[in-house]
Amino acid sequence: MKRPLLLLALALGVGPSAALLAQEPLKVVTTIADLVSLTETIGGDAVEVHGFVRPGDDPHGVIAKPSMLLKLSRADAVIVMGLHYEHSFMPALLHKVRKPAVRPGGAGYLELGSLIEPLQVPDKLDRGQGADLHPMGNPHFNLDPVYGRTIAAAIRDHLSALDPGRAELFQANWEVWDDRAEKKIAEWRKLLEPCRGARILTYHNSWPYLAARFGLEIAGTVEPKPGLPPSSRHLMGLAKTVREQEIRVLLIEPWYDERRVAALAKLDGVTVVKAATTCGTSRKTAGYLDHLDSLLRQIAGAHGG
Amino acid sequence: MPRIRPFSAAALLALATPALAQAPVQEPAAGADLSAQPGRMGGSQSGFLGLFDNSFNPAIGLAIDVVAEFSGLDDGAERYNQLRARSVELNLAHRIDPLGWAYVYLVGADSGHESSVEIEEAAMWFDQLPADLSLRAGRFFSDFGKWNTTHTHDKPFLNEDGVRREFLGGPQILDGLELHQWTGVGDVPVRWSLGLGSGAEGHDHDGGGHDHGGAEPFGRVALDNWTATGRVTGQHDVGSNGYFQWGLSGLYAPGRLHYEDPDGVADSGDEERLELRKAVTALDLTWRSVDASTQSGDTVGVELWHHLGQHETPAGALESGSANGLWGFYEHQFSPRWAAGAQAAWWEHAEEGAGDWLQGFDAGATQAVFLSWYLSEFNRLRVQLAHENPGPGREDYLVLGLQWTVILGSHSHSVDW
Repeated sequence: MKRPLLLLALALGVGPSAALLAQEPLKVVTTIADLVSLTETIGGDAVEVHGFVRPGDDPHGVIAKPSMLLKLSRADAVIVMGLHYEHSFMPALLHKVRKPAVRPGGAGYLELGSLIEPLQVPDKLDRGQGADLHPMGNPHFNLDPVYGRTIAAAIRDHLSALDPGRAELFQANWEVWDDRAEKKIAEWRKLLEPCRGARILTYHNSWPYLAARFGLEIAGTVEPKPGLPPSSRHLMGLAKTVREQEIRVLLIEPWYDERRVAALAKLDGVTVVKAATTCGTSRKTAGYLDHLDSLLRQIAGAHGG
Repeated sequence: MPRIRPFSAAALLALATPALAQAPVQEPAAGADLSAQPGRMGGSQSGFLGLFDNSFNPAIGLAIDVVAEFSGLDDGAERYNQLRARSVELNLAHRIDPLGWAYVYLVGADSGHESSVEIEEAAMWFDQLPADLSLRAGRFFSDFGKWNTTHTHDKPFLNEDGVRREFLGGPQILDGLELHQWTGVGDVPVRWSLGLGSGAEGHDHDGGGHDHGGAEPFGRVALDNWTATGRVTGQHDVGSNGYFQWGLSGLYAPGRLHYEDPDGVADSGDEERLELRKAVTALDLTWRSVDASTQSGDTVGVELWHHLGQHETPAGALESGSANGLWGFYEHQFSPRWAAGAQAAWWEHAEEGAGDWLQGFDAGATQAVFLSWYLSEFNRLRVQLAHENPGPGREDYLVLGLQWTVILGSHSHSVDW
């Protein structure tokens, strides 16, 4: 008698999901590689994670495919950055998927942008300010390791709420990771202390959170306005800035053409750091902390640290 | 003349209803001191709703598509050798309520010999039905082939393909209902749709196609005059950011209405109402792969069409005939800024003797190469060189086309299928 009732309850969506009853892994769909890494670290074997953005890829280039709809419709949890980070594919998918639990407002939906204090929220929305604008503020907060800890804690809470039976596991995994993160952040602060106040150039406006956390100052971006390629005149202006302000580092995301900054790279003392905005582009940067470690050491190294 | 049909009017009304429902109802009593009501005169302080509060306004976007086509053709279509705003498209979209949303495309079009303002699409989507079903009602581009629902200015090439123009008169607009469902067969997403419309017509802002029907100007139509459409498609992942998609589409009209007016003078007595059977089927195949790290990639699309339709012979009898068509394109995206490709189409004449400028030839073909430059995501220039071969007995010619398309305001990305 109990079994038919249980099946009926499941069919009606009442009570815990089938995955939980069978102790199957929670199916988590997320977007960028940092969120994949953190969710896998905290969830361990209790989660099965799928990321829509391949490491090293520009989220703007991701095709919103119907196979993603299937993954969303079969997921127990969805974890996104928000702040329009995934605007080229996630809104269309979330609009189409009918499973209430994984849509905004649903129990399985976690949008991390709401947990942080966004930087660079525009005073006014005007396409004259650039093609790649984020109305709710700069979305690249995953590059601040302190916010990384915020993200990890939110993932722990989210997984625990969905699968209370394995909350202790998530807590234990998180404690190990968070302890390591805390130590790493202290180490990076020490490493970058000599660079405090140093000015850097970036290709796209992806790095304000990282710069703010470690006291770096962004003196300019290669894109004159977000999403627009540089003109020769703009590059000449940047070259002047490099010489006058003794800039040592130019951060460029892997999807931009390095040839565009060749003239800047030739200037005395400038190191071009090809820096992905998430982990996972190489074995050395496979995890969230590994990626930041590699990146921050390159920045410190370019400044003689 | 603006053309607003019953379904379109219903869609507009539905779109307007929430706004009407939210109109302020707190009117001040006669003689009340308005300045004492914060927010009433000077803003929305203290949480008081302003009279012109726009919180629930729909998303608004505008797409402007300017085209100039140059040809040395002696008796060329009027669209050549002039600059024209081919379409200026105002679109509005918003949720109606938790059950569905609605959208409208109001288009001002200039085909070269005719300017018009019309409701191109006005439809409601009821997207909260069970089992991933959704229902669209109103006036809309029907789900036929891979590319019918994409507006012309959004396509990778400058002009609609010749097969669509020949068999349907351009992208097919349906006034009616369309039921959709998507599901998964294993890990393969599959989608189907069924449509039923009292009016169905081709729509071509370049004016080269011919309209194969529609209810106008007959008023009421019988169920026999309705058009049914259907499509099933599946998409298979290829690589990390690519797919192969197949689709089968069909359109059937047992008694599609045609209006003929030989002297062009309304109510002169020579007008003729014809009810012609028409069936069109299409197989579409698409392969697309994008490297998201460089945003470079390739797209190949091929569609094979078959047309079976009645036409009137010079003796006044109805006769059936079939025709085939094949079109396809290839586009290579070099970067987010540059793309280039080629398009080709070949078709047999679908209704010999029924058209006007098409009369007297058996088949046609076009080939084109195009280059697109995206100054930004919202600003695109395109140049296209096309060779048009209208068929035996007709002069073939080259057309150099320039296109400038901009998007203002709201924009969105959709699931690619």
